[in-house]
Amino acid sequence: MLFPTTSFAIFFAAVFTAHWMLSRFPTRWRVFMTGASYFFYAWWDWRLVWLLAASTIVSQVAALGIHRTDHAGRRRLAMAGGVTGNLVLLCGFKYYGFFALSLDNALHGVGLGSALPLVQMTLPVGISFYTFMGISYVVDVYRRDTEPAPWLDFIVYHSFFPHLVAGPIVRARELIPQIQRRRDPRSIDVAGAAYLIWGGLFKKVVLSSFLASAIVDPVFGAPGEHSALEILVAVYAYAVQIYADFSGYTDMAIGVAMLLGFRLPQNFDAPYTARSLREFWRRWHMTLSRWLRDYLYVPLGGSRGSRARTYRNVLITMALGGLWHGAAWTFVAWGLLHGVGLAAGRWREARAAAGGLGAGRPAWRPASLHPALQRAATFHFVCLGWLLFRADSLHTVGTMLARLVTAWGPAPAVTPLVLLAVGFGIGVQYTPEDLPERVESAFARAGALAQGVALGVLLFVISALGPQGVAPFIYFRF
Amino acid sequence: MLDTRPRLSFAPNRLPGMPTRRVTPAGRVLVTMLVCFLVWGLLDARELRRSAEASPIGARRTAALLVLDPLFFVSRWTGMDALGGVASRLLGRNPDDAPGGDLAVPPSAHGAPPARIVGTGRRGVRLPASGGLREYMLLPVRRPSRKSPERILVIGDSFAIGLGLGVSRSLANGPVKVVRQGRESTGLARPDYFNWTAQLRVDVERFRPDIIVAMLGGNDFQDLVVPGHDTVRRFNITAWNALYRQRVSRLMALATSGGARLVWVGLPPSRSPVLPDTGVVRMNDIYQTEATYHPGVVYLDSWRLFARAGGYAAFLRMGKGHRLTQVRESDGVHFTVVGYQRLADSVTGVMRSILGLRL
Repeated sequence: MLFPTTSFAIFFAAVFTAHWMLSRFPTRWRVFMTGASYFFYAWWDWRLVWLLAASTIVSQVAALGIHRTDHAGRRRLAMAGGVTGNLVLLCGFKYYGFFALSLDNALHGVGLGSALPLVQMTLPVGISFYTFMGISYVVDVYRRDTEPAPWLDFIVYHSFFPHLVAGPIVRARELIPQIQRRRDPRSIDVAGAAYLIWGGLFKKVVLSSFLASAIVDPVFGAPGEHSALEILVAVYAYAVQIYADFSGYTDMAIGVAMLLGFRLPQNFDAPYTARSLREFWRRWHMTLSRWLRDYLYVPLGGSRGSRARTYRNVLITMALGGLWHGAAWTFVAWGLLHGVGLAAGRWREARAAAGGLGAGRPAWRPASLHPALQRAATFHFVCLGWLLFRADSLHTVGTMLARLVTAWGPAPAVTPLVLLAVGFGIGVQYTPEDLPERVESAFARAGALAQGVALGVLLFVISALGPQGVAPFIYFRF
Repeated sequence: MLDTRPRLSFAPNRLPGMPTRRVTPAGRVLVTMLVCFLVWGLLDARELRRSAEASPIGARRTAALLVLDPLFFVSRWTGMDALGGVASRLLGRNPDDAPGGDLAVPPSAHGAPPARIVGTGRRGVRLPASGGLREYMLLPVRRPSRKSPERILVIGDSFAIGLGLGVSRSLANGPVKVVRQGRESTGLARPDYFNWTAQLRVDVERFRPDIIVAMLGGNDFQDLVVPGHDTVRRFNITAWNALYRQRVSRLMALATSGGARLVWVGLPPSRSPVLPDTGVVRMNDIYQTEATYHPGVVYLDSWRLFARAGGYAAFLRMGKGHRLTQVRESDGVHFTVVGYQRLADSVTGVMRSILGLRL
């Protein structure tokens, strides 16, 4: 069930009513919320519901196993079991075909036959998100950062429908206390929720869909028939499209949860205003960034070893982070590009701290670039990454880069509306930080009827400006 | 990203000095929500009702219409429908469009058959299409030039979107203009949702293609809707086949009536219950047979191109290195980019070998 659909509107109105009516009955509420979340997930394909249940059971059994003993070896064994169980589900359904294919081609190259049977799996929606949440729960219990939750609480946490299919990736210690606490039906932040939901709808239904059909899909689909300017603008447009698509989804998820009395962590913070790659990753898909840091980079050794080991850890983390986004070499290349960029940034900072970088520069040369230039440089590096991310093959990437400097000519696809949409998508990230607060304050002062009418009219405008139907969210396939 | 802790706050961000948020009781939020849905429903009743009408026949459609019919009545009675129509036009959407998209057919295309422009040496001379069709079809495909490129129109459902991009890539270096008109979720089964016959008239008039590539049928193995009449059930094989054949024939005749050649691409095997092999075989048989009855139509068998061991195959050995490559998406229906390219290369091969296209 997609958020911007009539089906979801009906589903949510019913869930909202029942949720608050049952809020005084904790057990009944938990059972109801589990049923609602599983119904939401089954709407896509009921045959894959068992996967979500399997991930929940594996994670909870492992967490209880860890908690039950103080024996270090047994604790580690249970933790490894929980992590492996989730990884088996994830790799089995998401990466099996990719690995089997890569292995077959490697063996075929040296004259050997197939090593693994080639089976094509249906990619279950949201599997990357809920298995990562399962892993973080097991590891947190192992690290004694959190206690295992009762079964029903954990089931609600793991399957809670607002974050189920595309995040944010919420930690147990953030959500489970909220599940266990009684929510007050008299204190719903309707203005904050409406701002997030309607803003998210606009980003997804209007901005992202328009850019995809107007320039991104045609140019990336057949770059050979487009000029340099069209390719350049298409890459910028994709940067806006993927931001609008993914942040639009998580904004809606956070807003929907807010109406149910829950606070989910923020996932995006104006990423294209970043002045360095490191800052970009503190602003883009923030809950994945901290997951990779806490459950991959730190266990690898983080920055505790030599500088070379730190760079290696950064590269491994980013390459695997790239692979998390999709089973293709272009995603690995995208991750490695960011890894190299982050490692280079660290090297530069280390040199600067040691006084090596910029020493002996002429007096007219500033110690660092102007912030606007830093932002522009970071944005263009990120756009180079998006080119790898969106293109279907490395060959297409090469074609597009080559045409950027060779294919001069008219650019009919670059219309004023496309430029306006790209400019809006980037410019909106530079709006004052208190703008949402001011809009929400004005909205909150209106009565229930006026609020309803205003939101209804806005919904109509978004629906009229959007295309027929709703394109799938980019991050659903991750 | 990795050493410094992300600025992870709980949404929404609170800034120092900002006033405390106003909170609302759940009952009032429910009222706001219901008013919102009501206002939206009344303003957009026409569009919502049409979308419901165009959805697949079944219980969900019936239930949606049960709710939307009275809503539409109230919307018209209160004048909200008219208000929504005006607002829609101001926002760039035509409220009278069919749910599947623009179907505005110019008056000239309704009456006499569309005028056509003939091939090499005579391009620019308008002749009526009536009579002489067969002789025209026997003319060789003209040799395109940079000034007058070959016009290729690709039509059909979501298969045609990927195929169109593949054809563009295959012919990227030639004097060719590829117009891609594929539309998702369309076909010949539901003219109430999207009418390909009407749309093709417009496309032929507008683009004057030399070659048309059609790939349809992915959404057609369902009951056939006849506007104003009962639907024809897909299990009623004789009636279904006859009506579907009639629609295919009409589209083929229309496509070639202006002098264009048509490459009709058959359906590949699939592993989706929505498109079972029995249906694919039935429809492919109709396409292939009808292609033999219409001069200027070439049928391309994509089943043979993609089937292995008599059925669906997600991976094929391809290219010089005979490398195993994924050609079908995980939905079991659509092609990967490589798969579309393989199909597009076959289509352009047909254009060169059978239609005599010289680039």
